[in-house]
Amino acid sequence: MEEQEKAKKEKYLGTKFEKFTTRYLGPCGSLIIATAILISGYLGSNYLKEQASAKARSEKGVLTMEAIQIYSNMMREQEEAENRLRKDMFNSSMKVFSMPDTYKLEEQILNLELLALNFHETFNLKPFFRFIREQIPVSSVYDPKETYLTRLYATAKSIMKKQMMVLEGEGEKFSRMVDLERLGQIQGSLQLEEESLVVEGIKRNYKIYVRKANDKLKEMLIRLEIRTQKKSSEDVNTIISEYRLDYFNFPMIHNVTLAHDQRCAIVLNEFTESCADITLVTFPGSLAVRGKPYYQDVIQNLLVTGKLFDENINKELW
Amino acid sequence: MKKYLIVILFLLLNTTIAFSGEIYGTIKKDGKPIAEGSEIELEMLTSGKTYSSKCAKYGSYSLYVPGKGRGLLIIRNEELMSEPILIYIYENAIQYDFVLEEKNGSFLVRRR
Repeated sequence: MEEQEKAKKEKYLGTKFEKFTTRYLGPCGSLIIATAILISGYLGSNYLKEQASAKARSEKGVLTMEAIQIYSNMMREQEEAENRLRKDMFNSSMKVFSMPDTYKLEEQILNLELLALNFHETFNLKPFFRFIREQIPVSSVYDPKETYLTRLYATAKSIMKKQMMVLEGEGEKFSRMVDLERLGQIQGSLQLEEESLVVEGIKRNYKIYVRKANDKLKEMLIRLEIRTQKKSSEDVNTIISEYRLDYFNFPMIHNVTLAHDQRCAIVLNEFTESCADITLVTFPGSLAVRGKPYYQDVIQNLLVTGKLFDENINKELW
Repeated sequence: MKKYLIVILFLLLNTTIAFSGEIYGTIKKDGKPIAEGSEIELEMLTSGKTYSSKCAKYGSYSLYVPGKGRGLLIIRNEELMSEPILIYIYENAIQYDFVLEEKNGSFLVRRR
């Protein structure tokens, strides 16, 4: 009897275990396996995504470096080609100035215009302009050669304006009227109204004194005083510069070097027998060097954005 | 007769070109462009004639003056009337950027 009951109990327990395994453990196991697959799948896909983005990043970096290299090579080649062309143009134009007796005034002026329009950011063209001016012997206002002088001054003014447009964008400026009649009446210098300008967070005070004016040569002797307050102390750093100002002063070339890689220049806008008009501009020193800032901008933009050109600029252009 | 007419016309045209000036630029007050429609009035000291123009958007203006010499410029609108500032008109166009500054109830014009 006891054996029968024991067998019955064992059978009962066996069926209960079977029931437990088939009813509960089976589905739970599938669930666990499914969850494990899900987790491993999620982790795996994440890992793959990270790998792909890392690869893309490195590829983009390589592409950026390649783009920089291609761009710099292109620029170098273009620069070399331009330099060859400029060299030829410069040499042929220089011939006119080295042999002035063999060339007419008209040819000389035309060559100066060519030189000025192509090299105004690189060379100091003031001596050429002065040389040509000396070649124009104007006897009176009604002299036909007066037109040559007007043309010479117009060329100089157009170059000055071109340069000023670039410099005003990054710098600060102010203009003043010079009463030449008053200058003739007073003894000593004529002080113009002072002004303070802030460029790249640096504030400077500018005082301009006009000492003399030459109506015939349309030039003025100017004294410029620049004061910069030092940040750490109450000391003031003063720069005094004295020079002749005429239509042939080009701000990218004829400028005063200031601390923190900044420059200051004065240009002559107009000059008459009774009045003159001048503009002072302060700008970052990088603009005083031809071409370089534009390349810098491109490379900097390329490194930051990974794009060769600013898309917004292209949109505006097209 | 035709020759004389051509010569006279040429001289007249040349005189107009030689003695015609223009001033242009922008006017700001408190760092902002002055209101559109503000009036710029210039009284030439040599001839006594008055010329005026109105400010466009962004405080920009342009005033054609037939002649050269000194003149007094006044800026005014519904809110203000500036003190006169002495300027010079040249044969060529010239830029005059101005800043209006309030001092003791009156508006001073400073050149920038």
